[in-house]
Amino acid sequence: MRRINYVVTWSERHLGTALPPAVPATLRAPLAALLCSVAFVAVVWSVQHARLRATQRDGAVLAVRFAATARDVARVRAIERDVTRLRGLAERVDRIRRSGAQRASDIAVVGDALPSDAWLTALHADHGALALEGRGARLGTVGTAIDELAKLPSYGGARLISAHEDPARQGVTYAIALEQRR
Amino acid sequence: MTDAKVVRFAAVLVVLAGYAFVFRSGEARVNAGIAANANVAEALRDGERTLQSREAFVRERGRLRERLHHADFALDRSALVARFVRDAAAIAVRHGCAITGMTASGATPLTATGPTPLTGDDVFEDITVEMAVEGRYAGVLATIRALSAGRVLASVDVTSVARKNAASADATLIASLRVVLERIAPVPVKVGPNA
Repeated sequence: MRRINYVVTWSERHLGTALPPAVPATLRAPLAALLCSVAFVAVVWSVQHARLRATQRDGAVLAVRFAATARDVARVRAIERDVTRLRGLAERVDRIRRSGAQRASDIAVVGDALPSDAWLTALHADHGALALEGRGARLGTVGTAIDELAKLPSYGGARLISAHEDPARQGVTYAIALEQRR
Repeated sequence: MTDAKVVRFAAVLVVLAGYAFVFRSGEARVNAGIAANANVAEALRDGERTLQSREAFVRERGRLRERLHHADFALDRSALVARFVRDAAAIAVRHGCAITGMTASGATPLTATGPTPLTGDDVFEDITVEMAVEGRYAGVLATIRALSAGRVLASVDVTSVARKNAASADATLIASLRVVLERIAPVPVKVGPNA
């Protein structure tokens, strides 16, 4: 059945003639969809543009704040570097200042570790290891001395180099090496 | 293909192009901007933390300078050795010992490469002095202790300690010491064509 549209069109009413429709009815929905999609893209572009502008504005504010503090921060960093240098220097000075007391203490500890009937006659240091020479009342004393010296925490162990009777005097002479702790 | 289909296809293409060229590329630029801002903000926070610690650094620098005030790093070589010889002689006498020999070797420049690396331009120079100290056990140990604690920066190492006369009952010891005197060497000025 054919439908007839009795509504007078705008062109008939105002121009006196019926113009053909600008957009055929079959194209109206697709064209509306096309316009919607263009509008959608425009909205997306606007949103992204606004976000980008906001980000740039934030960046500019941060950059201004950063520039305002940069000179003061550079001054404090220079003080910090100076402090680091002075710390290193102070540590080095302390280490050097302690060196004498440390060496004297090493010798005293070795002397104190020996049993009462053994004594030192010489001590030689070589890169953290010590070579001891001394005398003891008898050979058993040397064994006790090795035992005691081996317990010293600063050294890796005590090693007998030699022990023999002293022909000139009563007792024995000995040589013991204290090895460097690894 | 009808016109309606072409228009629908065009609408789909516009949406896809909008996604690819507007949304995606915009998102990438916005994210890059946010990341750059985050970096600046982090640098700003770092700077603010540094500014907050300014007082602490200034106090520590003062304390360290005070602590190092008594060490003479900048003496010239002759003055350094002269001062050490005078101080060592006084120390030995104070502890009932005698310095029976002293030999100094030449100065060796040292870059700042101790266990704690120094970050400044400090270049240390050392002067090695071999010396023999003679005295009783307690006096020799006290002298060794005192040598490194004086005005001159002197690192003390003991090479050997032995009885002076092993055959007799005399308890006098002779200690051979290696003392390294340290000073900060003046940094040489670089002279170049543009200087």
